[in-house]
This record gives sequence, C-alpha cells and structure tokens, in this order.
Amino acid sequence: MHKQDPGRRHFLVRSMTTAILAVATGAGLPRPDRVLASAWPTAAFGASKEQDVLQLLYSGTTPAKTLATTIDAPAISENGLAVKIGIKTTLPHVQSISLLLAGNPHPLAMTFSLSKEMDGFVQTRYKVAQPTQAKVLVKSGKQIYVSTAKIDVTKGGCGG
Amino acid sequence: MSRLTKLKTRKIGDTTRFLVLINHPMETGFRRNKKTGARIPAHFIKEIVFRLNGKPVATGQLGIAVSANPILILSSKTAHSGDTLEVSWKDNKGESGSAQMTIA
Repeated sequence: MHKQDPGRRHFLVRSMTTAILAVATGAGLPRPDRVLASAWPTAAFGASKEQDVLQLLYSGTTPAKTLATTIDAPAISENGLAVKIGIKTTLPHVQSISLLLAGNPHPLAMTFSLSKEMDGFVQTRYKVAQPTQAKVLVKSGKQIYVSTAKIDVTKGGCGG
Repeated sequence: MSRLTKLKTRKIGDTTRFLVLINHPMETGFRRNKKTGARIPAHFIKEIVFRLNGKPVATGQLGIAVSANPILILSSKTAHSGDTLEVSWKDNKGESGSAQMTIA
C-alpha cells in the first residue's frame, strides 16, 4: 500500500516548483495583477524624520515632482484630530500611494498598495499635530512622484 | 471583542467608490490618562485589505496618524454590479474585523 509510483511523486514536486516560480516571476512585473503586500514596515512607521522614511520606503530614489497628483485638504482645520485628506492621482500604473505628514511625531501616515483594478485614489481622516506640509508619494512604474500641500491646524491632534 | 466594520459602495460616473467605516480608537500611544498620568498604550489598525471577487486589489498599511473611527475611501473603475467586495483589517493588538457585500 505504501509503495507509491515514483514518477507520480516526481511530477507533483515538479509542478509545485513551476507554480512557485510563476508567482515569483509575477512579483517583478511593474504593474502587479494582484497586490503583493510586504510586511508592515515597522522601521518606516517608527521613523521620526521624513528623510528617513523616504530612505526606508524607496531606498533613496529621488522623487520627481508632479502636478498629476492632487491633495484635497482643507486650507485650515480647527480640529487636528480629524483632518480629511483626499489623494487623487492621474499617473499611469500606480503601484502605491503614501502620505507623509512632516509635523507629526512619526511622519509616515499610511501607504497603500494598489492593483490595476483600482484608481489612484485614497481618502480618509488623519491626526495632524501642527501646521505642516503633507507630502504624497506615488510609485508609478519604477519612478516615485511627489506632490505637496500645506495643512494648517489651529489645534493639534496628538498628545493629551 | 468585535468592532463594527461597515462597507458600502457608491457609484460615481463610471467609477465605484469603496467606503469602509471601522469603529476603532486608533490610539497613538502618546496620550496619557489625565488622572493617573499613565500612558495609554498604542492601539491602531495596521493593515487593511480589499478583495474584489476574492482577489486582493488594495492593501493599506496604516500608522497611528489615521483618525479614530476611520472612514476609508478607495475607487475602482473595474468593479461591476454583482461583484463581491470584501474588506478585512487587523490591528497591533491582534484584533481583526471584516465585512463583505455584493456590489448593487
């Protein structure tokens, strides 16, 4: 009963290797068919300087300025606990969108990986500790694009 | 403890907006209890995944800067009526939640 056909076993192992290779090759494509999210970037979220976040997320690639990304935020917010920031980009092949708020203790607010089914759009509310410059980084193909907007708050959203 | 996770979609022209609301304190870890002075430990959503017909289409990694009870909005041009949309999240304390719907 325990004697198995060695040919069958070999075939199974071989087909599994092919499947793994197929997945690995797919990961290198500029626009992934599905989002392959890496682990939560602890160091980038824990960094307290904007430059450190950029270095950790994009390993030093200099972002190019773009007008294709708009940051929709109120010119002045009374309550820094919930500032609505809408990000919209018309750049092609958007792979990820990240938001940095330099005035916060930890500038990196969020990073979204998007597949080709999604538009370049992310909107939610954020805590903003002090008037600052919001920086949105969009990864499109192999290039990183940056856009900025001024966020003004009269009462900060961090601390007690 | 399960937290409320609400999911809905809104059609705007040829795009479909995905709206998710999560009841979550999104505690930064910087706040202190005013009476005792003790730090309130950080408690925040770390990761949120959107699946369209079972396939992950968007993954968000969030930090403490996202406000409490966040409403997160994404947009898709390829989502159609009848598609299944699912959202699931987990936080730094191991809590998680999810919601599922069929796009009308």
